[in-house]
Amino acid sequence: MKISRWQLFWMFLTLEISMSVWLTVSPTIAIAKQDAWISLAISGVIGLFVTLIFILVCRRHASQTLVEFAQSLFGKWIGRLIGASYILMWFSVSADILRIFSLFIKQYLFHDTPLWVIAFLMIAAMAYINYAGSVEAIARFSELAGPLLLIGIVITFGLNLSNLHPSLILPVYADSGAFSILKGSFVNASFLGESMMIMMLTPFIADSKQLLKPALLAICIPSAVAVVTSVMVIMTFGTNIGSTLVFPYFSMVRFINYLEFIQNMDVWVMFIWIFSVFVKLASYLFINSHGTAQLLGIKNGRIMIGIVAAIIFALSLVPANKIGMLDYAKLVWIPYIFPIFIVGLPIIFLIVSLIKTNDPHVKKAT
Amino acid sequence: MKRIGALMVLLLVTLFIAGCWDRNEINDYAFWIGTALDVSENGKIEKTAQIAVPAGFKSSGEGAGGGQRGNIVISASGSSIVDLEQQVQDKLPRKIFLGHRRSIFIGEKLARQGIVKIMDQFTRNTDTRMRTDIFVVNNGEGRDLLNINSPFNPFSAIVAVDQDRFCRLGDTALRDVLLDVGRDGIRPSMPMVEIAPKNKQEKNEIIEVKSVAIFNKHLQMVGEVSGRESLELFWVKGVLKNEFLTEETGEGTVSLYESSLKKSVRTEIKGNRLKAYVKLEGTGRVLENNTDIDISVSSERIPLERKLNAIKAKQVAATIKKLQQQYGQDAFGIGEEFHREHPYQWKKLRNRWDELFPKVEISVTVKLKIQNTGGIGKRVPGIGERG
Repeated sequence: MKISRWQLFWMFLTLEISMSVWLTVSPTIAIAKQDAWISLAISGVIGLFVTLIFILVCRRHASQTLVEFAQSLFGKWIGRLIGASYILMWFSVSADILRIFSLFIKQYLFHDTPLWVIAFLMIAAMAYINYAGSVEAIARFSELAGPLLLIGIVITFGLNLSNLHPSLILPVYADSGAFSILKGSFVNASFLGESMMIMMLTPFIADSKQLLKPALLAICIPSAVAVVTSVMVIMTFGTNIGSTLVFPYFSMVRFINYLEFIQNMDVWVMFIWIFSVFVKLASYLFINSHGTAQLLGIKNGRIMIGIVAAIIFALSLVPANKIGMLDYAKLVWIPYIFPIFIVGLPIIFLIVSLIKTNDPHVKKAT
Repeated sequence: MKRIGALMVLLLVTLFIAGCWDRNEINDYAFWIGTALDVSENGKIEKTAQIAVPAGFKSSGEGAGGGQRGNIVISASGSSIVDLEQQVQDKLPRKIFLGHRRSIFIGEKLARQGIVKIMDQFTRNTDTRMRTDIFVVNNGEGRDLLNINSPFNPFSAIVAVDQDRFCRLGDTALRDVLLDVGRDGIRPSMPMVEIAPKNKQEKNEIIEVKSVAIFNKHLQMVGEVSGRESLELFWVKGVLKNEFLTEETGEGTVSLYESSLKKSVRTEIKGNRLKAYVKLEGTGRVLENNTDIDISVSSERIPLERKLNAIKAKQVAATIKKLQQQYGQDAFGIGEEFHREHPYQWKKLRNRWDELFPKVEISVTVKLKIQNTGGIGKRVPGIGERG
C-alpha cells in the first residue's frame, strides 16, 4: 500500500497547481499590480523553504505521521492537542475547497443545480477512491491527472500568445515597491504551504528518505506555472481587470480564439481542473480520516472515511457564498494558518526533534 | 450483504439521473447574437437583441434580398441591463443563451451621456464572453444596426465583427476598451459603425466601419476621428497591423499596402515641459503609382520614400494635434509611455494628465520602406510620360 516518491511528486504537483493557478493570481495582482509575477516567484522560494523544513522533519520521523510524532516529541497531551489542531485545520480547508469547487461548477456550468448535489457527487468520488485503494489509488490517479493538467496548461499558454499586450507588464517595480511585492508573495506562499500534508503521508511512502528532490520539484513547477500565469493574465487583461476577476486563468482561457476554430477551451480546462481538485480533496480526506483514527485510537482507519466525508460535506454547506470562501484565504489561512501551522510549528518540530535526538523514544535519523 | 450495498448505490445513482436541473436541449435555446443599447426619450436604457431564428437560416442561401430573415430583433426598455434581459426573455418561447453574443452596439446618444452604468455586467456576467466587439453607432441608434439584413451573413452583429477585424480591432474590442478604462495615461476609444447607403442596393444591407469614438475618463464619448485619421490613431496606439495608404506626392498619387506596422515612443521630461517622440515604422508594397517616378530605380525610389515619410509624418502630427486641441483626450496612450519610461515622475503627473496632455510636445517620424514594387517595376509603356 505504499506509494513511490515520484507518485508523490505527481500528487503534490497536481494539488498545488490546482490552487495556485486558479485562486492566487488575482489577489496577488491586487496587491502587487503588474509585479505580481515577482511576488509569485518569491512565494515559490518561500514555498521551497517551508517544504524543506517539512521534509527535514519527516526524515527524522519517517515511520510516523504528524499525529504520532507530535506525541512522541511533546508528550501525550500536548502532542494530541497539536495533532488535533492540525486535523481541525485540514477539516476546515477541505470544506473550504469543496465549497469553492461546487460554487465554481455551479457558476459556470450548472446554474440551477442545487449546490449540495455537486458537492455530494465530489464527496462520493472522494470516499470511493479512499475506500477502493486508499492513498495508492490517489497517487496512481494523479499520475494520470498531473501530466494532463500540465499539458493542458501549457497548450492554453501557447494559444493565448496572440492576445498579449507585452507593454502592460511595464514599468517593473516602480508602481508597487518592495513592500507590496513581499506582501503579495504571502498569498501563494501560504497556498504552496499545503505541502505540509506530507507530514501525514511519510509512513506511506516507499523510499521516504529521498523525498527532497520530488517534493521540492513539486513546489518549483507549480510556482513557475503561477508566475507564467500571472504574466499572461496581466498581459491579457491588465492589472485593473486582472485583479478583479475571480478566476483569472479561467477567464483567460475563455478569451482564447485561435484561428477562429479553437475557441471555448474552458470546458476542457474545467474538466482537467476537476481532476486536480479531486486529487487534492481526496488526499485531504485521506489524511483527515487517517489522522482522526490515530487521534481517537481507532485501529481500522477505513471506518473513519465515511464519517469524515460526511463531516466535510456538512461543513462545506455552511458558509453563505463564494466571497465568504475566498475570505477564508484572506482572513484565516494567510494571517493564522500560514504563520502558525506552516511556518511556526514545523520549525518547532524540527528544533525539538533535533534536541531530542538522543532520546530513546524518538527514532534516529540516518 | 455486498450485493444489497451495490443495489443501494445503484438506486441512489438513479436519483441523480432523474434530477437534471440544468438539462437544456439545444432546441430550447434562443441564441442571442447581438445587443444594441440606446437611451430612450424618458432617459431609460433601451436594449435591443438580435436573436437567431434557426428556421430562417435556409433562406439566406436563396439569393440576395429574397426570403425571410435568419433572425428576429426584439426591444425592451428598463433600468438595468439584466432587467432588460428578463423583458426580452418574456417575449421569447425559448431560453436566452448569451454565450454566442458577438457584438454590442451603443447608440451615439447613450455614448455621449456616458456608458459607466452599463459596463459592469460585461465582465461580471459569466454567461457572456469577454471576447466581444463593441461599437458606437455613428449618428444613429444601435437598434437600426440590428435591423440591417446583410446578404453575407444572416446576422448583422457578426457582419460588423468581421468587418471590424479586417480594418481595425476585431473581436477583442471590448477587452481593449476595458484595458484602457481606469488607467491614468490612456483614454478609451472604440470603433464606430455607420449606416450610410450610397446606392439602392446598399440600403438596409450594408454597414460601414470607418471611424473611432473617443471617450474621456468618465466614459463619455467626446468626439470621433474618421477614415485615415482613425487608422493613424490606432497606429500610434500600437494596435494597427496593416493598412492601405494613399499619398498625394504633388506629381500624382502613390498607393502602398503597409504591413508589420510598428510604433515606438520615447518620452522626455524637462522641467515643466513634456516631450514625446513618436516613431512609426512599416514595410510596404506598391499597389498603384500614378506619378512619373520610376520606383524600380533606387535613386528615384529613395527620394520618394523620404517624401512619403515626410508627408505621412505631417499627417500623423496633425491628427495628434487635433486630438490634443479639439478633444484633449489621450487616446494614444502617450501618458502610459511616460508612465513606463519615467515611473517615479509619473506619480506626480498622473492625476492631472487631462490638463497636461494637450501641452505635450509631440514630434513624429515615419519610416516606411518600399520593400516591393508590385507586379511591375517601372510603369507599362504608354502609361505616363516616360513610357
